[in-house]
Amino acid sequence: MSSKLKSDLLLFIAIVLVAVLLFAGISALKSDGTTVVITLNGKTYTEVELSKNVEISVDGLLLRTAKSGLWTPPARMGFARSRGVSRNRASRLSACLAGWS
Amino acid sequence: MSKTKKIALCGVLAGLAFALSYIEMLLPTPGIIGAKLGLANLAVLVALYLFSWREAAAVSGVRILLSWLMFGSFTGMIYSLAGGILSLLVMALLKKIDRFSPAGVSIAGGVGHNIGQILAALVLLGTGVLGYLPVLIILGAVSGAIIGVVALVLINALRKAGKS
Repeated sequence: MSSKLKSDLLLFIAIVLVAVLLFAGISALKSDGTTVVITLNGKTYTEVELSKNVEISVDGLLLRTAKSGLWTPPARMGFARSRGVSRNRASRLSACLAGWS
Repeated sequence: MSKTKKIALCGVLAGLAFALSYIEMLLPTPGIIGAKLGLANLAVLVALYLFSWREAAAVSGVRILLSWLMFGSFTGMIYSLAGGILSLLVMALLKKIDRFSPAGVSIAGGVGHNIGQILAALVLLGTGVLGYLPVLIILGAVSGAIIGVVALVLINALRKAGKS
């Protein structure tokens, strides 16, 4: 293989590596840049606080208690997504609530 | 090469770039915004290797202008221009360094084109478009490699034809 073709190949590999690193970096920024905050009944909770709370109600409707598993994962995801939480964060929030029962 | 022959060849390359742009519009896209094969870059790359960056810039500029006047929107022209300028800058620089074949230069040009378009989108649409960058970089490298290999064959053939 000529030296120029080797350089071409190295350039290609370097570009792909940079793209993968960028992808990883952007994903990390999206998932960990800020704290997930969700407002229920006018009160704001972080995902850590949510995991500690024993009940969540929205507009007077009890959605979840420590004993009952009223929220299915899609419902949790949908609830978070409808309040502008990103898919990544909604997924984390959902997982956080799943471990709460 | 005489000046007349050079002007004629540049005209042919600009026409080829425009025709390739049109053909590319007819081809199905992979579903990612801004993802294209970049067929028109073939003519720009050939102009860069047969002549210089000035002729390549002229071919690229005429192609962008004609595409805008014939079937594009003003915003589309801004994206094309940003991509075209950055792509040509990168390709001209790498050609001057002389460490890469036309295929390598085209890979960098393809990536440069997509980065240029993302930079324009950053100004026009905000930071939300940054998520596309990694995918567009990889697609630019792959399409640049394909176009570069074709350009390599074409440049060699044209140089041989020019000698005979």
